[in-house]
Amino acid sequence: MARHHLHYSKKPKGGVHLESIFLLQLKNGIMLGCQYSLIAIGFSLFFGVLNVVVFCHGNIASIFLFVSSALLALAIGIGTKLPQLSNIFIVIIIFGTICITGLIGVMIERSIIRPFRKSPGLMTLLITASAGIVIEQVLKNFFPQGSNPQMFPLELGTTQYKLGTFTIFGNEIFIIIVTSLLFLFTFLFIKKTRIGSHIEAISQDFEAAAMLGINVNRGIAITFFLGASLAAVSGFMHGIYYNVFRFDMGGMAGIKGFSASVVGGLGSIFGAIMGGFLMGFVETFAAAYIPGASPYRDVFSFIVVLIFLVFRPSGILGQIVPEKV
Amino acid sequence: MKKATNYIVIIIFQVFIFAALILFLKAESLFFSIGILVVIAAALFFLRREKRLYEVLNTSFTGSSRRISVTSFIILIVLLPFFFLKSGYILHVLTFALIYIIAALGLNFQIGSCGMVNFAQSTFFGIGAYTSALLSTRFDLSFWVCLPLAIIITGVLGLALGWPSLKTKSFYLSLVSIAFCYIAFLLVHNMRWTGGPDGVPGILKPKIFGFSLARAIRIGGIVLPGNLTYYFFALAFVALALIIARRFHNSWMGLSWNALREDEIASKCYGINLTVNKLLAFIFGSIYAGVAGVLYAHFVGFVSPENMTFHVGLLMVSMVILGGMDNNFGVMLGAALLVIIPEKFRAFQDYRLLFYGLIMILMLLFRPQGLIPFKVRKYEWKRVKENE
Amino acid sequence: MNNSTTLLKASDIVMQFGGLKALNGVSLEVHRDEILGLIGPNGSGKTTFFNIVTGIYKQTSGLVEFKGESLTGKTCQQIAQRGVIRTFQTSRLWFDLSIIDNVLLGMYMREKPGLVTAVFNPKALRRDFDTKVEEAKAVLSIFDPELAENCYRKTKDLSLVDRRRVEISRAIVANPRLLLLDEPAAGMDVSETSDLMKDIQKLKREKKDIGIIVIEHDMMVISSIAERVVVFNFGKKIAEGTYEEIKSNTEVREAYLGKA
Repeated sequence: MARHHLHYSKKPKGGVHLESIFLLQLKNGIMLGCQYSLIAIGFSLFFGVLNVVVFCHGNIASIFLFVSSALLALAIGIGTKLPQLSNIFIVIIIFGTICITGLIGVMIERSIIRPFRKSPGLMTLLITASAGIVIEQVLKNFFPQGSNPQMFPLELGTTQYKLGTFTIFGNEIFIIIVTSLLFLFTFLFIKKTRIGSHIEAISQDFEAAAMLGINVNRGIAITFFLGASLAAVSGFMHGIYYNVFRFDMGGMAGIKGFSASVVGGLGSIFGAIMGGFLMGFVETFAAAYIPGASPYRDVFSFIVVLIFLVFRPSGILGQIVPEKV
Repeated sequence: MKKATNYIVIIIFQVFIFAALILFLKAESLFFSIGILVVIAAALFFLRREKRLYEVLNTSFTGSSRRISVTSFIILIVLLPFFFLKSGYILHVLTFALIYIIAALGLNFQIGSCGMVNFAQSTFFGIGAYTSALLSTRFDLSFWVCLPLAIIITGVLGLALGWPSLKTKSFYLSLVSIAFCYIAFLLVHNMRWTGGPDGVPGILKPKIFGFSLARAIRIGGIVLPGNLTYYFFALAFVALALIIARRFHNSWMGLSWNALREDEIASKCYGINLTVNKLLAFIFGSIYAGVAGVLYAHFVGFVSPENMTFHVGLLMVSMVILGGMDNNFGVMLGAALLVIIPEKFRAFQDYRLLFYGLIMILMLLFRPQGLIPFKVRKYEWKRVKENE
Repeated sequence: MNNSTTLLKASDIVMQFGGLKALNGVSLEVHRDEILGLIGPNGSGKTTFFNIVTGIYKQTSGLVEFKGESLTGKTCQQIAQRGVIRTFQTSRLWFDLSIIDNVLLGMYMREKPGLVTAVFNPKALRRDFDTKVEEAKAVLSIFDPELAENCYRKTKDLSLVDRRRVEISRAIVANPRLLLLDEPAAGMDVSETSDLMKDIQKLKREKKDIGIIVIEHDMMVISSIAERVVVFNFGKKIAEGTYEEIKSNTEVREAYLGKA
């Protein structure tokens, strides 16, 4: 991921305020956590309903970034001529692209995941890993200058708010609020709506749900739409926070998000959120407080995942399902 | 008389394949290259329909014609590089193919035989390469010292990956291997003593009995041109790797590997020790990768962290899947195809990964058993001998 | 019964899965040269019992002794090596492997050439396989010569009945001292079942000293080959005796048919 911490790497003048550095890192951790969690939720949802790991999930966030960038550049171009409409256009484009990304998620499920429903999860892992590469390469080759870093054309809330020595930016507040709302929305959707209960039923027992008359395919499609849309939002966050993105960032984001959902417990949405923030904090604090560790920040994340995979594969909140003999 | 016809069929087929390969590699225009691939595919397609011919060819290396098949194949593969004396680049590619074949054969122990998909084979490839690179450039150790050391190191580290695999189910094992792969890559990429992102340059070609592989070798009146020497060097290793892999497959260990792939609980109830077998698969598989890495290092003269990325690991997994899981010949074919064809279409360098991803998706959707699928073991030596 | 003829002795076995008590204090014995029938409604704990004896599950409490030796804490492999061999309710064969490979693997625990021999002396390896393949084919032929003839078919392509036959062949070549058959006749029709029973009886005559436990729902099988019968219900042993005795046992009838 691009390192957008230019103004954060300088030591504050007038001595070291440990408290302010801590708050700063806490904020950074929260920022990362927001992005990881949104992707992790998708992984957990998909694993919950189909018991599969959709390795190209991170690349879906990239799709959002590239498509919305292109459209936004267009809108802003139009906007210079018709300033009143430009804001509306921008909002429409953002939401539209999120929906398109959601639909792409549904298409991916129908085309390459559905044929393997009865096969071992490994096949889906392999085919979605390949799909991830295809997505990444398509973005690189078919968007103009795709292989170079891209600028996200939208700048949101760059106003600073100061509380003592602690600074927070408008876009950071925006990210935190939107992410929290999305968590709430997802939670309510799954727990309180009828479709949400269908999805839970499918996660518990696919065949039983089908026998109860639940339209499993539709439930799965909705799950994928939801997961992909959340990934798109995560991409949006990345865009307005870092402003720079590359075609290959999706892969890494996917792996991080996936690690987060493993840590939290594949299949558990709350676990995904917890895992996302845990990973965000581990990465941020390790890089900040362990001297010389900054280039190795990713190693810490992977080591955490490794430990969980070996010693507690069900994650923090997941359940161990014993094999029936 | 039937036997003679069989021999002729086999020899003609092999010559056809090699001729097509040579033409493909020499082809200048894109059109011609693709054309040859189409011709080969069409030929194979029609061949499948001819049951008798297909049978003869299918058992060419295992049936009663195996001596002739093996001999003719060896002759052809020894002659192959001489067609490209003027084209160092193609020889380079062919040698690469041989090196990756060794890594793929090792990975097959884990994926094909045991059903454990391991994305970290590139890690052991890199460890072998780096071991040799560092020892030979910093301590002036010869290839022949680096090789056994690399074998020991990759074997031991293979255990490090194998051990968590014991506790995790197959699917989770793949995830463990991905994490392992990234950790190793990041460490090698960032540490200074491994040369950081720039890698380790300046590795020399090995010497055999005083003859350096960097130059032409003259023995008596025979001259082996300089750019072919490494091809044959690697070929010797491939032959050894293949023989050992085949013997593993045909042994009781090979059988028990397959058993644990299919059903662990039944395996346990019939006395198969899962732990020992899984660890052996990891140790041997990693050693193969390490050897391939050493060969790579001394061939290219330079190693970098890019040799051990997750992408390379995924590529190696694809070689096994494309070629045919748990089938040594299939795996060799898969490796050769995935090395040679992309290099041939160098003009489309940018689209290489895209095509590769698409091919994987197509293979998994339509022919997951691979090009040359797993063959049932036959215990017919007595009958074969009687027919000879 | 004389202790030296006791092959298996299970005492007070309790098996708890979270909130579910699959076995609630079960005790039973099996003796040499005996066929014990184990019956009971679905879910009464019969297969769980097998899983505990063979080491797949670890019992919550209770003791399992085989030939006087406690099996607690032993791995599946160790238990199998002592001669406790089983078949599964859903034939657990190695499906991508051939019939002959499946039966050969049944002989895995015997003396065999190791890895070093396999690599450096493949001829010796082949001789070993040749002998064992012959024996495997002989055993398969007892059930159906066709299985031995076309022994290179993959077991996943076989019918349910043939799969069971291969599974039983595999169990036989493993030289069992105690053979646990889990619903061997399931899915078979009347003539196939009767053939199976003849084969089990033949097996028992040829290999003296082995004990056999048969889980079955088919009472024809139980009545004709079981010398003694144990009945499970809700994880408890509710009756024990000859088939005639338990047939008229009221509790047993209620277990199957419900309270009148």
